[in-house]
Amino acid sequence: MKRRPGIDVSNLPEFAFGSRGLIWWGIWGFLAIETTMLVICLVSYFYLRDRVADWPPPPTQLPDLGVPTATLAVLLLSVVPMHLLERAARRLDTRATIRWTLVCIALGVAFCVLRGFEFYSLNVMFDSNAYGSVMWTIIGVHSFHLVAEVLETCVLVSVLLAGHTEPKYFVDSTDNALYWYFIVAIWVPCYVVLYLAPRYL
Amino acid sequence: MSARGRRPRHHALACPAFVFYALATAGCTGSQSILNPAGPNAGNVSRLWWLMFYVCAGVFLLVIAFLTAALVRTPRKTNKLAHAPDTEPDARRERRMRGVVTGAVVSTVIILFVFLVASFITSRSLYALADPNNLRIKVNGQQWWWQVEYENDVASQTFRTANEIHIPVGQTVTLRLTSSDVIHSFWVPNLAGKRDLIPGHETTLWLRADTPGTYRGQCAEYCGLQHAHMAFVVVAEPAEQFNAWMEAQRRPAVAPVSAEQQRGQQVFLASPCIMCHTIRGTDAGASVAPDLTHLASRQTIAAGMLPNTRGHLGGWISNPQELKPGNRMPPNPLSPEDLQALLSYLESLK
Amino acid sequence: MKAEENTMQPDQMSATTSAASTTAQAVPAVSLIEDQERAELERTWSDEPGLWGWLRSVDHKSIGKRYIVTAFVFFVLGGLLALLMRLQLARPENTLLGPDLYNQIFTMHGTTMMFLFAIPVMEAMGIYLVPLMVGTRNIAFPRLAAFSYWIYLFGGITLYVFFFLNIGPDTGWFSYVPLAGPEFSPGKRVDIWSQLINFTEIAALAASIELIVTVFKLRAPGMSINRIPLFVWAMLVMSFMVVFAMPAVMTSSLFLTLDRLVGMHFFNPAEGGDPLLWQHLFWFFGHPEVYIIFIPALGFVSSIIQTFTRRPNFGYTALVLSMIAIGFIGFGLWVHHMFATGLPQLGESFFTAATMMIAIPSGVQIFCWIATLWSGRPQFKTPLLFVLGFFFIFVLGGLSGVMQASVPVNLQVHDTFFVVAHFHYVLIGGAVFPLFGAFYYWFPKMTGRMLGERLGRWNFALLFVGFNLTFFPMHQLGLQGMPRRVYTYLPGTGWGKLNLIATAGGVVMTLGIALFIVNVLWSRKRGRVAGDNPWGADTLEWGTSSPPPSYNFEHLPVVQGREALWARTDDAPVVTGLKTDCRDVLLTKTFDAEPDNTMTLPSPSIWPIGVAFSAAVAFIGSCFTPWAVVWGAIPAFISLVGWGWPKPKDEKCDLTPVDEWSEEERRKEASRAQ
Repeated sequence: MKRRPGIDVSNLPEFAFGSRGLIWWGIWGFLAIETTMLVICLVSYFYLRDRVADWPPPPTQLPDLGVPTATLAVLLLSVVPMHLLERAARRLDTRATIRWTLVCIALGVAFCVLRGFEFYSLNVMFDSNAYGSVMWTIIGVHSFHLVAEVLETCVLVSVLLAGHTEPKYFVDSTDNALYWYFIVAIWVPCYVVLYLAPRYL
Repeated sequence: MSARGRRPRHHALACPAFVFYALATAGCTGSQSILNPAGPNAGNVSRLWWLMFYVCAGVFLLVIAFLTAALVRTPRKTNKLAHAPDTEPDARRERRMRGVVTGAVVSTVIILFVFLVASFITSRSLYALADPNNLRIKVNGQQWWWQVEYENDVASQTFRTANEIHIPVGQTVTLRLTSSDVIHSFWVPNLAGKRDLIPGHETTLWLRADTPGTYRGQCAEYCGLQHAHMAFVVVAEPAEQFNAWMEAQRRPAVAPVSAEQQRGQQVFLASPCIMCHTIRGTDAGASVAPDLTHLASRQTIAAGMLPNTRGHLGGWISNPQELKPGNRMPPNPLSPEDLQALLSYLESLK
Repeated sequence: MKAEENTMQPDQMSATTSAASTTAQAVPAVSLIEDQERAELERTWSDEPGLWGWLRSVDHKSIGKRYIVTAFVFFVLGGLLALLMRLQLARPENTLLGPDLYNQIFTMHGTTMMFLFAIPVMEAMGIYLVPLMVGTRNIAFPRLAAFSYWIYLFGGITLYVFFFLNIGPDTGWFSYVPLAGPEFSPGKRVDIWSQLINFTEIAALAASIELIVTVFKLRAPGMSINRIPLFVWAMLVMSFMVVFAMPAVMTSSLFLTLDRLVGMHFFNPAEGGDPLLWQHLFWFFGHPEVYIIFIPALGFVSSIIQTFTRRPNFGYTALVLSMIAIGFIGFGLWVHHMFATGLPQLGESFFTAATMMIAIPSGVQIFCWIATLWSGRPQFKTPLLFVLGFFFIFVLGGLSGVMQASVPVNLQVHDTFFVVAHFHYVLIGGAVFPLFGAFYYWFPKMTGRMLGERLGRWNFALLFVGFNLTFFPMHQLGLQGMPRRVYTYLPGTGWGKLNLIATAGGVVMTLGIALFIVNVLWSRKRGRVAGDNPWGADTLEWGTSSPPPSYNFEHLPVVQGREALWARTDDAPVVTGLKTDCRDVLLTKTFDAEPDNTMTLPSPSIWPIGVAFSAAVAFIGSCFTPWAVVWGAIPAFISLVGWGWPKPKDEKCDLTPVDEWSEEERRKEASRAQ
């Protein structure tokens, strides 16, 4: 049987981290979509803010800073174990990966609970006025991501705990880290715009 | 199938279609046409439109000419897709084509720039009609009629009417536009481009009629069930006639004279009519529906939908839902004598 | 249909059967793989038989075909709605449709065409063609592709169920507030429109992500960035546009749902909201949307012109850059839908300039194609006829668009039938004509049989004449003052004659579409057998059988030039070493497509339907109560876990668990994978 010359790929790696794999790109696509959505929400916030002289519009009070700042702090803190998780996963170190994932989940539950209380720091209901509506919605959209990400992380650690330690699940863990960094990173400008700017600028 | 293959079909069939179309539309510059301007706002736009039309038509014909030439010039002795593809096109010819394509792109940029400048100049001319000394008219859009209020620094000189706007010929008018419910759009094509009426905002439109006449306008932003029947009329008349009209509109309603008219006024005041309509000089003062003080002076009723005749008015009052289903006026089942009396009264409100 | 129509003329036989062809179309005379390997590939990649296999399919070809058929069904439904509109408007004060039904119908027509036909059909063509054109075995994220189809289907069905229950949306496809808000549209009509956005946008976003990743990572070796086919570039640009445009309409429909469902005030001026916010958000999506529809059509035109002029497109780089330019500039035009709202003058001028500017890259495309036609040998098969129709119609529509870019002109023609004429010229001319050309072009690849050529010419002629007869008079109607979205008009306006002509045109168009359907149904069984490459085309999908096997290519090709099959030599290398008993694909580097690593793609699964169904429950329930989000989220979560959870029977294709490796293996493999 005559054969053409071939490029033989049988010796190539069968899994790869980061941009060498497919999921990494998929996550970035997802992040682009969600970033665009939150940016549009923030633009709507500015649009509505621009229509009135005082913001929040009287008689609405400024939101309290205590709980929101605590939530932000826990979010920022969670980046550390997530980074350590990523390094462990890239080393294909099962025990370390599981350990750091559980730490992240604990912090994740903490910031989800804090986020629940954050809504009540707002001093305004979502149906009081446009300010209330846009505040609740932006925080709500972000909260959806917080909960989804914590659940996703739980599923990933369950896969590892159930003994499925094939390399691709380590790649999944590192790709998941991207999503985690996103939910923290996107919240920083949101926090500044929603909580600090009306108070100090 | 001939060896020469087929020419593109559209050439053969397009001609009769267009001839038919041209015959069918001969003499169709209807009254509401933007190409039939009666004032500077519409006039400047119409001029700009014709400029763009001729240039664009020329561009279109040029593109089609090049396309046609491209298709017919190649010798097509064979019709074989198995014909070997020309994977390395002639370099000189490619260079020449690059020059032509670049030229075409540059021409496109130049033409667009000319359009941009012409558009900007026309835009400026529209804004130039703004003047604080203009006659000011406030138009408030509602589903599905137009509330018109003539403003004046002296409060007693203001008055309201509905669905019909009079303006003096040759004088610029400033229209302040608002809406009580949803977005509408004020559009009288013979006089000006449109402007939306947006709840929570006030927009402004300036226009002037240089030719006397009656110009029809229509709501141009989908506003619900009866968007199709939300029209109005702009009457441009010489200054003396306009002033006389304004004076008449300022006066309260004519008192009923004959017995039938008096009965008609009684019917009006005893009916649900007064829950929505105003007739100045009587106790009826609600303003969620058109002001009827000078109803008989208007050319149309039901927001430009029907001519203002006794028969149409009677049908409208009896059952507006049949004529304009979904509008806000309920049916009014009156006895025939009551209806006739009411009509006589309303006809007297000049 | 005469039998002679089916037999090949000797000089038209496919190159695959001629022995002495030119080098560029030679196909090796011997097969390269053993029958056993081929059988194993077939076993690995094909769907299980029957309904169960069809429901679980993650084969991009199967998903693509069902997507195309479903989109076409919606096209026909939308077209029938349009026919009803035309029949109502044929005479002044006609009583065929009352205002309520008419308003539902025009809303359904626009919503169907824009959300249920135009974008899905373009995504679908991409899902089917892109993996074949880049030379891989399946699309990236195959289960996501299946999910995309199911969520789209459920959304479309839901919308029509609501419509047939007389609670279809009735505030226009653009659904302006406050008309669409809680005060002026009570009931559930607008809510189902708002939820439909969620269904269709998620479907489109999912499809776009898959296409981007497929193009970036799964290209065959040798298909470097400058060798990517123009249609693939088009799908790439379109997919990026979807990623950045769809979130805007998802956000606006979220705001609308919140206003209506739980009493928020985004658009309520009494409490600080603004109806114009809706318009900005909607049109920030809505304008790129039309370019999203248009750009894949540019890809169709490039493909067809290249094949039927027998030369590569003139100006490949210019064509690519101008598509990208259209993609970018398209995001800067949205305010031209709002010129009548009383904007600041400076803003108006900027958007006029931007709107005019987009004519430049569009012009570049037209000029390059005319140059290609000028210097090539045009073969007047049906696909090229549709492309010629595109030139005529789209250029006319583009020019009327440039006119409307001017604010003063826009203020007169906005919201009139002039605009209706314009956008039908650019959408039908610019997208639907190329799409029909694409159907005639790729039907042989998808089914193995050619569509009837004579029927195709009649199809084209009826559609072309019918289209112009329907929509050209609308330019004049708009100039004569006829606004849009009116269920009737007074006799005194004089609009009756042109409306009647337009309606007659609509009937002719309907005949054209009917002829297409007849052609498809007949040709599926009785059409001429196509062979691998009936058109002698250059892109990779023509280098495998028609229809392609479940595994696409016996061996993944190695690409030797921009026009892959025309540049292919007899001794062109292929990719060897991919497993045939697992769903293995080759990932290559993003820019130069050098082989990088392999991976196993997910196998068929029922879970994507589960997620789609749960999401449908959540969305439909959200019309009625906010708690539906919770009810739907729970089964959605369960289905997502099922989707991704390791399956025992796939484990033979996975690597062994890391826990079973030695320390040295772990170190070595980890470093190879960074």
